Amino acid sequence: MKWLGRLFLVAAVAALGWWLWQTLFPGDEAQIRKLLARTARAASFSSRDGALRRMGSIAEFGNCFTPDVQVYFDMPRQGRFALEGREQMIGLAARSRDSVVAVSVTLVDVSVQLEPDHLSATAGLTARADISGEVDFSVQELKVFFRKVNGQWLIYRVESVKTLSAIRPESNLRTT
Amino acid sequence: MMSGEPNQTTLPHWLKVVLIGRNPRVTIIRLAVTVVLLVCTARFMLIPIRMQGPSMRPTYEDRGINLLNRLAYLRRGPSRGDVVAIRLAGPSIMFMKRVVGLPGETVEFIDGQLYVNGQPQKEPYVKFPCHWDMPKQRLSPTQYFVVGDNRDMPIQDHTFGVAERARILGRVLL
Repeated sequence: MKWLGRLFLVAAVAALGWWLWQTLFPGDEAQIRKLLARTARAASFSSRDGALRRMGSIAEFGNCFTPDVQVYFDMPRQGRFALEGREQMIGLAARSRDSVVAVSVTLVDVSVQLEPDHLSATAGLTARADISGEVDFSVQELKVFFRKVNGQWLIYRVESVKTLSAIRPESNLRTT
Repeated sequence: MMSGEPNQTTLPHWLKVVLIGRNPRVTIIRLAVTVVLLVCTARFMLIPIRMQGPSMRPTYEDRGINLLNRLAYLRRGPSRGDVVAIRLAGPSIMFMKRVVGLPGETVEFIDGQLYVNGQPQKEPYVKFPCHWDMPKQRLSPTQYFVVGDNRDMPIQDHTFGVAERARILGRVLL
């Protein structure tokens, strides 16, 4: 039975070592997942946030994107809209804090595909937004495109995915 | 003479048998197998789901609990009238809608009336007034048309439309 104890000890040390390695030297996919989690956290806010925290989270949100980021959304109720550039993303984050009291954004079912060159990647995910004052949460399937810039992964394109598509009365494409 | 140790209270034999069985090792194995079966059933066969939102009223109310049968479409595709779950990026959040159009058919709404292949459809599950207009859509061999039962809101506010077969995860059981 001594050997069983030693086997458990070796397995525990190996697991700890693997965890430490993953934490200190995360792979590309882990970095991308961390970036997505950071983006969701920065997009979330509550009425209790002070001015400093608010500014910090808006800046952090903007830093998740490349300067030439492109965002294309086509969603029920919101219609179609497009954004281009990091400045517009920062503006959107600031305006959302003015128009809504609190939002909690979570990203679920994230699947990451790395390109063979390990310099670009794509992720499919579902974004869930719990907006204060609304009974039901909003969901949207998204496709997010990443690029490695100076060793750091950043988002350069976001598209909404039409899970259910139907021909409806056309709404004009608007840019903000 | 020294007194012996005080009597230790022991469980009656019948209670021991009820709690841990005649053979504790067998009991543990049976418990482990039961847990594994329950987890596999809940994960891959009958998935518990919590419903949120008004789009399937009055058939299903907000915050209700139900089960999703993942094995319902192993041998056949969804049928008209089935209430199905459609996945988004994954199975954590799904749309729950009713199948009203099958592959190869045309679907349209004229003043709230559903037409499939030009024929008006009876929809006894639609209880609230509907005045939707939607141009004719033809479904491909892998597409189904799904819509909620609650069509009281403007058409732009309702999430419905064409769902690919691969996204339909199963049929709502209850």
